[in-house]
Amino acid sequence: MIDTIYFEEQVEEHPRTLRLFQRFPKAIRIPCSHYKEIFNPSGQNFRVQKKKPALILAKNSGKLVHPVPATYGIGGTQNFYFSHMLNCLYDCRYCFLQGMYPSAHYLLFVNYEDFFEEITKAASQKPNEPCWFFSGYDCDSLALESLTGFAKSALSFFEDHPHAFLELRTKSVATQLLEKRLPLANVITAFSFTPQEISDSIENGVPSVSARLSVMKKLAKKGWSLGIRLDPIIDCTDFEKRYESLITEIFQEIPASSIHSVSLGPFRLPEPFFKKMEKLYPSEALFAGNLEKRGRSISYRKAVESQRIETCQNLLLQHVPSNKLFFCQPVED
Amino acid sequence: MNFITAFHAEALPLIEKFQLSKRTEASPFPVFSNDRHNVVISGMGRAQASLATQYLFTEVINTPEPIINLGIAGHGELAIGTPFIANRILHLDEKAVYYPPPVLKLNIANSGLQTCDIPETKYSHPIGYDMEAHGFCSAAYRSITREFVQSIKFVSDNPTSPLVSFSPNLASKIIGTHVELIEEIANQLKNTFQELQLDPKIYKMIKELKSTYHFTFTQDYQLEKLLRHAYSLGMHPNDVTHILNQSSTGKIFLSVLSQKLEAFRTLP
Repeated sequence: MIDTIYFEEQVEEHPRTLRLFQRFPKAIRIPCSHYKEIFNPSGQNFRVQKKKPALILAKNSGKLVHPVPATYGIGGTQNFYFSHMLNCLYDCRYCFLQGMYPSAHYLLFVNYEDFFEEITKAASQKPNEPCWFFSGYDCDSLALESLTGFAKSALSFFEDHPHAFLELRTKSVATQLLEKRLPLANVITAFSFTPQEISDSIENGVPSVSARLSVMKKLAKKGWSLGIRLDPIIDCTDFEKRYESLITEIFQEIPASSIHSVSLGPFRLPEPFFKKMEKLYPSEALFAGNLEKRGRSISYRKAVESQRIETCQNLLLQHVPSNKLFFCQPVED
Repeated sequence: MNFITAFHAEALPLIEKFQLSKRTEASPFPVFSNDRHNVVISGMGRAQASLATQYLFTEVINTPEPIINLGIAGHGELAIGTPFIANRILHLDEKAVYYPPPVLKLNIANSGLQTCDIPETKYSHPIGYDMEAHGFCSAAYRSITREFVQSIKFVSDNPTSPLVSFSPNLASKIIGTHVELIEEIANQLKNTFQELQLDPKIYKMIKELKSTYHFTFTQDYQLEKLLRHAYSLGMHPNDVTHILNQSSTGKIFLSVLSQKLEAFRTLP
């Protein structure tokens, strides 16, 4: 799975580094002074690297926990995100990571404890208000769990910090970790979906909708709270029929009582990211869709976007109360 | 494929394999070419390698294309004759360290490579030692993305058989033994590079259209974008040709094509 491991010399002896060296004994190991030497230079091709990403092991010594834009969130008043890893196992054509990062290599920060320390600090700023931490912005929270073990560490941490709330966001079915342990009231696992036909065409490597629903069902049975994320909403032929079918299937499988929240978000990308992605995939039909520049983002034309969001909203409200439904909008809108 | 070598002896196996001819025009570096390959012989040292690489991109090919730095090198560990891919290229006086992305699927050695200003005889570390790769990368990275800039070296000396003097015959012999490998590397890079390019049919159509109509700079951009979209969205080329035949000016063509594409813009 991993043929090349770059590692910062300062983490060469870190237990997580050593474990990964053991896990991939045949991988070529290449030392570096700082991960930015490999990850940051311009003039790299994300698309080519995505075919066989290397693993970069590093220590993140910068700011580790960041506030989430005000237009995002699932009900909490304090919202933060953190990224123990940059880049994702999957290859979704709409994903902003392709436009944001110069490299497609998996960059794993092995200093998990420093993340937890900053989370503790952020959560203690307003100890009486629930504070949410989102882990799946720059990577899938669970897809590479067998490699990182991050979620396992995070669950232990959040178990001891019941006033801090964690969202694990995923398209993965690698949920064994959750299945094996007792549920935590302050952790939700949110699964992202597009209709299967769309997933087949633009979400490379993502498990099928039914496979994801199957693991969600198991988690629900175990008592875990679940999230549904229809973000981004992708305009397509037979839009209403496909999304209706998806939403019906989800709620047929997952008991409403297990649903913590549902969020909806339109397809939107910062313009520079969009331009870079279009250049990477000049023949991609998604990028030739009914799009326009609005504010600093590229989105579907307003009329299309509003109609699609409204359709999904109406479909979802047949299954969940409005207080569980959230909208993610670009900040400019 | 494009190659930079320091010496003629290193280029010789390629010249013979690909039946390259020496270009006759005045040039600061010897260049050997056919319709698919170019070899520029830089001379020794990183400054020469850098200049030759720049020369290749600006004067020989004029367009971004994959490029390989090929040559012999010392190595602290590997046996004489062993080929290796450089995965970390450094020069002790330079801050920049280069990490050629691992895009080649080959079962050969990988190694760090230190570019030196004088031949290395101590072999202090289990890495390669050459005199060009760092200069080559620094120049090539200005012209093409890093995946398509690779440095392939062949061990000519090591601690048990240290360098005495450069032997052209040995260089040709060692590299000549691996000419099939070089061809495989060139093919892999070329194929990956081609996967990223737009369908040549689009370029052909753009060329035809430009010879038929006058397009302003802005229209030129629109033309490429619309044709790219027509291709991405699955519009049949005959439909584009039909619009072309019905249009009396380039402006009308762009306008009609844009309108027709509206029906295709929803993802199937």
